[in-house]
Amino acid sequence: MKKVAFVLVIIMLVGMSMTTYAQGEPEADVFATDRPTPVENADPITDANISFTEDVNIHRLSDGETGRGTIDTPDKYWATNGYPDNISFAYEAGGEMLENGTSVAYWEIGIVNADEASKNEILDLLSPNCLITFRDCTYSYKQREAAFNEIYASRDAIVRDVQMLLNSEVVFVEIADGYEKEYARKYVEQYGAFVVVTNDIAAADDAIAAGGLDKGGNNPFDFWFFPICLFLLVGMVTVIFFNRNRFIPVMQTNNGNVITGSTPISRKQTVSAIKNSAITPSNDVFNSIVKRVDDLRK
Amino acid sequence: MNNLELTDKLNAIRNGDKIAFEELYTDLQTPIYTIAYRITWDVSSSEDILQEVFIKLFLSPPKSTIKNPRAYIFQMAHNLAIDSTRTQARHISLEEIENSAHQPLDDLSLRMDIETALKTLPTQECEIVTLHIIGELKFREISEIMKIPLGTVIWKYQKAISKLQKIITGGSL
Repeated sequence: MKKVAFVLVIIMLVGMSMTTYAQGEPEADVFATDRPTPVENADPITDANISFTEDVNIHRLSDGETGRGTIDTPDKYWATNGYPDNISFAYEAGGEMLENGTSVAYWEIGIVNADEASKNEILDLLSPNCLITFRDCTYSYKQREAAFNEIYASRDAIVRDVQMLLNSEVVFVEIADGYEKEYARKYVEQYGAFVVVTNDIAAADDAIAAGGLDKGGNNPFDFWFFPICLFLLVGMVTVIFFNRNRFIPVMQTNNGNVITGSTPISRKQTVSAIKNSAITPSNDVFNSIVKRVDDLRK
Repeated sequence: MNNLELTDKLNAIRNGDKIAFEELYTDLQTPIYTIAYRITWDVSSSEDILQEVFIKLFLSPPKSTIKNPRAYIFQMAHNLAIDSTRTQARHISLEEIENSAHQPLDDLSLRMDIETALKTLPTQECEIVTLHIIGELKFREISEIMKIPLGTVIWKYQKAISKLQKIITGGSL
């Protein structure tokens, strides 16, 4: 009992630390992952001559080309290994379970100055589980990230907030009322038309889609603090849950195959398990049908 | 049995061919019974529905002009199962039935199978999964049978498979 009380106190302390941390980082909003298309309704406030327009962005090049390589999640791959100079964004826009039980993920990949060679390079990298739509872009991820970092570092009373999207080539900057045009002009001249100025980034959030990127700053402590706290919290809750419930997740399919909780189950195996779970009625049902049919015919 | 073979069988049944009827029953008994059961969760009702479907098929098989007899037969089973559920729970609205999640078993130490996992899904999701995987119907056909948009069918299917995958892996129940 004392142990449980001790663990609960630690959880409370960690929780309080996390709350304090979150309050100190107003831009730490996490975007929902199921929002619709971005930018179209974002209504950025900029000078007409220099404002961001859709022409700058996202021209669809192709539909659903299948990968030939091994990587299933290009966004994570590039986040780990660094984005190539010609990639603007990569995000998963949905998926589908095919008739044969294979699952396919739809990927939207923005390429700067796309040509067949760069498309083939990506197709060679991604696995056949990826159905890729290429989009022609003007600005690379690295270019946008550099702008993001500089603007982020320059935040003050006027430059309130900045967010970089992962599903289009846009960097939103929230600017105080009255300064929008001035800053829009300045940013476009300095970085390019991908910087979109708004005076209410929260309103723009509603129009931002799947891959809104929140970057919490460049301080390594900032970067690691939240995941470590979360990891500790989840670990402790899991230990308590398993201890209290003595729960061993063991399951059995209708065929008698025992599946333990430690075995990760793929979608294909899940579909197969469902297929095997079909139930056959008793033999009496058919006899009963034949008898009823005969009765009705008489 | 594909639609072409089904049409042949139904034509034979129209001419009183009992062997064709038995072959049709052998082929479709499991998916139809499973779908009925996954809607009603009642053995007796599911057997009644199965009987009803095949008696109708024998006495008045669908016309040969019907392009998709498989979807037609599953539509019949689906409608009968929904009617049966309505009769069993008159005080609950159809929407509540379709969206209500079955409660998981209290005793988590019991060995659980995929059937139990399916019971945790809302009825509509369970029905979509069963029609697609066991009934081998296309999403478009399911959308027409259940009278819900194609996008909703695909979305609910994906959601249901993810949930089941999580449950079977031991994530939650």
